[in-house]
Amino acid sequence: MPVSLSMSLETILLIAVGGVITGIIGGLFGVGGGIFLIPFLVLLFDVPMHQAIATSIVAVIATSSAAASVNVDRRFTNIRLGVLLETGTTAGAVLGGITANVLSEAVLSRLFGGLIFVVAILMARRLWQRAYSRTETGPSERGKLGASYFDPALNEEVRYRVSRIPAGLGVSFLAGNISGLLGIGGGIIKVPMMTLLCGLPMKAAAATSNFMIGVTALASVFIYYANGHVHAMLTGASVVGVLGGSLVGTYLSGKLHGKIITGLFVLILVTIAIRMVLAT
Amino acid sequence: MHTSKLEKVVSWTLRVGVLASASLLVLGIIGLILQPSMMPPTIPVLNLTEFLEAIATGTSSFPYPNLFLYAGIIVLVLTPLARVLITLFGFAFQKDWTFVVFSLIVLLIISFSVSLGIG
Repeated sequence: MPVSLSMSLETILLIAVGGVITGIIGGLFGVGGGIFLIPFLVLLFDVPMHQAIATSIVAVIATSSAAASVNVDRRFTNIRLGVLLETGTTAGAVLGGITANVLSEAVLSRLFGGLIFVVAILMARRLWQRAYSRTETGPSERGKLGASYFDPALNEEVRYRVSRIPAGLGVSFLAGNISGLLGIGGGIIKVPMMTLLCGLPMKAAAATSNFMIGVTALASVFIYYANGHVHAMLTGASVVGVLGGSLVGTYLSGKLHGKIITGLFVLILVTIAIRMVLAT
Repeated sequence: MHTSKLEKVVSWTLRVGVLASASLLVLGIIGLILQPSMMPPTIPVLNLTEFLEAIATGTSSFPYPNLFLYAGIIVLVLTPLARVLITLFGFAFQKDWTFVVFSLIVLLIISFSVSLGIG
C-alpha cells in the first residue's frame, strides 16, 4: 500500500542539503551514499524504511552512473566481466526487492543496522591494514575475460586474468540481493569478491563493481515503484543532494584520508547501526 | 563497434543521462521554491501513467515542478537501461554472441522486474 508522506518545502530542501552531506561522507570513504542516506531519512525525518530504501536505490543509480562514466572512459572497467556478473546481481536484486516489500519496517531496520555494523568492522580493518594495491603487470595471456588498463599511479599497463567465475556469480547474486533488499549499491561485497576471489586489481574491481550498480538498482526500483514507495519530491531532492555531495566527497577523498578520520567514520557507523536496530 | 569505441559510447551515455536527469531535478526543485503554493499537503507518489497521460494530453493541468521531477527520475532510471542496450548492440556488432546472450539475460531480468512494476 502506498504511504502518504506529509512534508513541507523546508523539509524537502533540508533533505537536499542533508543529501549533500551524506554524499560527501559516502564519496570520502568510497562506500556510496545509500549507507548514510537511509539512516538520515529514517532517523532524522521519520521517513518509513521502504520509502527510504526506494529513495536510496534511485540515488544509487545517479552516483554509480556518474562514477561509471569516468571509470569506463579511463578503461578501468571490465565491461565483459561486468555484464556477465550483472546476470547474478540483477536476479538477486529482483528477489531482494520482492523480499523487502513483504518484510516489516522493523525487520528491515534491524537488518540494515546489522549491515552497517558489518561495514563498520570492514572499515575498522583499514585502521591496521596497509593500503592494498595489486600490481600485476602479467600474465601475457589474459583469457576471454581478462583485460588491461593503464594505471597512471603506477605509470604502467596493468594486465590481469579473471578466475573463479561461478563463485563470483554466486557472490554477485548475494550482493544484488542485499542491494535490492536494503537499498545500497553493494560495492562493499563485490569489490573484495573481485579482488580476492576473481583476481582483479583493486582499480578494475572498484570500477567494474560501480559499472554494475546502476543496472542492479534498476532491477529492483520497479518493485518499489509498484508498491508506491517512490515519492517524486523526496527522491528528487535526495538525488540532487547525494549526487552533488558524492562528487565533492570523491574529489576530497585523496586529500583527507587519515586514520583519525577513518576511526571517526567507524564510530559514526557503529552509532548508526545501534540506532537503526533500536529504531522501531 | 570496437571495444574502445563501445567504452566511449557507454561513457557518454551515462554522462548525458546523469546530467540531463540532474538538470531536470534541479529545475523541479527551483520550481517548487519559486511557487511554494504548488507544494501539496502530502508529497506525490511517482505515477508513470499520470505522467504519460499529461505528456500525451498536454501538461497544462500538471504542476510543472512535478513534471520536471517526474521527468528527471524517469531519465535517471532509463540511463542504465540505455547502457544495457548499448552493450548488447556493441557485442552484437563485434559478433561476440556469448556476451550478447549475457546482455539479453540481464535485459530479460529487468523486463521481468518492469512487468512486476508496471504490469
